[in-house]
Amino acid sequence: MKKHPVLENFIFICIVLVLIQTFLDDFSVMRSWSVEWRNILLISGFTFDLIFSIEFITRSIANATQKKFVDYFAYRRGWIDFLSSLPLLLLNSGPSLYILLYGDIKGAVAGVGILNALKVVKAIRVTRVLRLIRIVKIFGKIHNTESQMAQHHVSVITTTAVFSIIISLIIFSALFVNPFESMMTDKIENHKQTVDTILEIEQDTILTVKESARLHFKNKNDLLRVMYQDEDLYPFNDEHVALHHTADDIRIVSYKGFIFYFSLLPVRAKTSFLQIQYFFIIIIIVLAFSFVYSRHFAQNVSDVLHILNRGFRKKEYNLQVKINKKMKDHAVFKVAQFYNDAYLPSKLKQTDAKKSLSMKDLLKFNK
Amino acid sequence: MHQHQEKISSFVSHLLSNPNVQSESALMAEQVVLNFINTNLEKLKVNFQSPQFFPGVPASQILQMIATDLRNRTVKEILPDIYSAIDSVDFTVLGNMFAGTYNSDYYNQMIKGYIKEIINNREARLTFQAMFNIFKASALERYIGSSFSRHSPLYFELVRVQKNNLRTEEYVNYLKTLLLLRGAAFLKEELPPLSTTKVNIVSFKNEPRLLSQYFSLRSKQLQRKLPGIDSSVLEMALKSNLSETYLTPEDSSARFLHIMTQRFHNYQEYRTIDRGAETPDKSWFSIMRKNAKFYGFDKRLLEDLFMIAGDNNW
Repeated sequence: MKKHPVLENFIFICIVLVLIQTFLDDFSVMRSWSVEWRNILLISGFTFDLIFSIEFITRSIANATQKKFVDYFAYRRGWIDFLSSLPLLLLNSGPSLYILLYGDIKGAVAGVGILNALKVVKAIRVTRVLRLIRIVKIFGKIHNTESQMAQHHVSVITTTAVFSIIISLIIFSALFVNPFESMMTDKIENHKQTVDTILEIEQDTILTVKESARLHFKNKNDLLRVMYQDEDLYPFNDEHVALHHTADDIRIVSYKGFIFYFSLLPVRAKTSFLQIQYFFIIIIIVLAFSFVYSRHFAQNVSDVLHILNRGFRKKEYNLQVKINKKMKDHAVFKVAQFYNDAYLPSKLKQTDAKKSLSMKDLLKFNK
Repeated sequence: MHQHQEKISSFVSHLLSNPNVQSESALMAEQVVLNFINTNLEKLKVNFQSPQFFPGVPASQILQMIATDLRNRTVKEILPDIYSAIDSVDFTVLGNMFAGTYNSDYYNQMIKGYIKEIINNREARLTFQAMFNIFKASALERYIGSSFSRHSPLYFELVRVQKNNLRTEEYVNYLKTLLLLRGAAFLKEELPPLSTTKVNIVSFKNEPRLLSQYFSLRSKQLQRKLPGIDSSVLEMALKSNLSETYLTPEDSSARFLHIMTQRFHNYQEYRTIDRGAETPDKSWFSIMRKNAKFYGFDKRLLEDLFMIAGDNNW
């Protein structure tokens, strides 16, 4: 397939930027950045996912027209292109942008309702780590060996490691409840019990129920607003809520005439902190494979084979292989030792590296 | 005849323009063409009689004309380079060894004159191939410098065993002089009482016991042409063409130069050294440790040169 250096470099830059964006996306939640900044990050995330989706579709079509789609998808990391583009666009950045555009704080119910109806909220959170698979593509460009063999083998092992981590995270997320989310559920249950208690004790008038509720729910940092029978008992601090919360950061719970508006930010901050840990674990693994393992592989396998190959094929190439004494019993170095000690001396004896003419060269004269 | 000469010249140009030859130095190109002619002599004789080549001209005459044309081209190309090489040598060391009053300029002119004489001899001419590469790569400066600074076995051999107590730069210039003059061994001369016919070093291939006599007579004969150069210097230059088998332990410079001239005869510069590969000199000396007997190299010197090359990443 024809390569377009400008496009390839553009995609490479996008991959670097999307990794930065992925980190900042979580970091902004962890450090309670303003909604304005988080929205900018959300839009940029959507833009990147859109670019990568277009890239994947274009590559797929181009390969399919040459009947090479399977080759592209299975052997040339097309599956990485796929996993890190369309699922993210459809399950993560797309829905988030939809809520941003069509939901507001008071209409949050609608947005959250859509996601709940899709039952993919949990999956959406996890799919964010799929973006990190793209780092494997960066590795292909920056690591320190020119050997195709080394590139391929290191790429396989890196992809396997990163993908294993990601799959583990997805499985864990599907099978177990996020402990921070269960904390939220506990809090909601606590508030419900409080409501039950209030209603049991204050049975006389609506007025005393409201007063009692006001006292109980005042200064709870997870509650943004409490309503009872269409009356605000504990209203929004509009300025604070607008600055730090998107519609997606609020959960609304109705219970026995009470409506609670919970802030999800404390839970999200803890989850984001975990995501940042995963992010760095994956980055460090990829860097370790790129710079430590690839060097090890090159020095002890591919470089040695490269020199042997040149020495066997080229008459005038007579450089010896450096033998790693600690690994001299490995098959590669045993062959290299034989090449150094027996093949090259014999080669130099037999071929004096002379260049020659042939009768054919002569017969071309005067023609 | 003139018409043939033009055609011969055009034929030689055609051979030299072959990509396999073009990348070679003038000396090696000449060698490749002559090897080709030797290998294919019988076929060539037939071909030369075809209308396309030189019909009616005796093959021996054609071959002679080709060889002359090649020689003239080669000499024309290499002589200025040899003169430049001579200009880069400080011959003061020769004056000191001879205990004479001759200065470096005197030797410079004398050696230039002598080389102009011997350059027409093909085998003598070919000895300059290694010399060019050694000078270009500053090989003597590097290896002698390194060996002398660390007092390695090479230093011990050259200074103590050969009893030639020179400083580093002096030794380099001494060895360079030997390189310039070693081609004299290939000139055929009468050497009475050893031989009444013309002989050169190759003539004693099958009679090595006569070599010491040859060296003694030939160096004295040479000294008459090159007054002011000690006969021991000339003898060592002649000996540097031989393998260790024919030399005495005191001929350290000759044994060293025999290795170095082999190393640099087909010297090829590697633009880049592959990662994981040994450096070119280290590789060569290491390989030659296995082939020392075959090439007649002094194994202890090879070992030392291998260590020097390895320590210096050469």
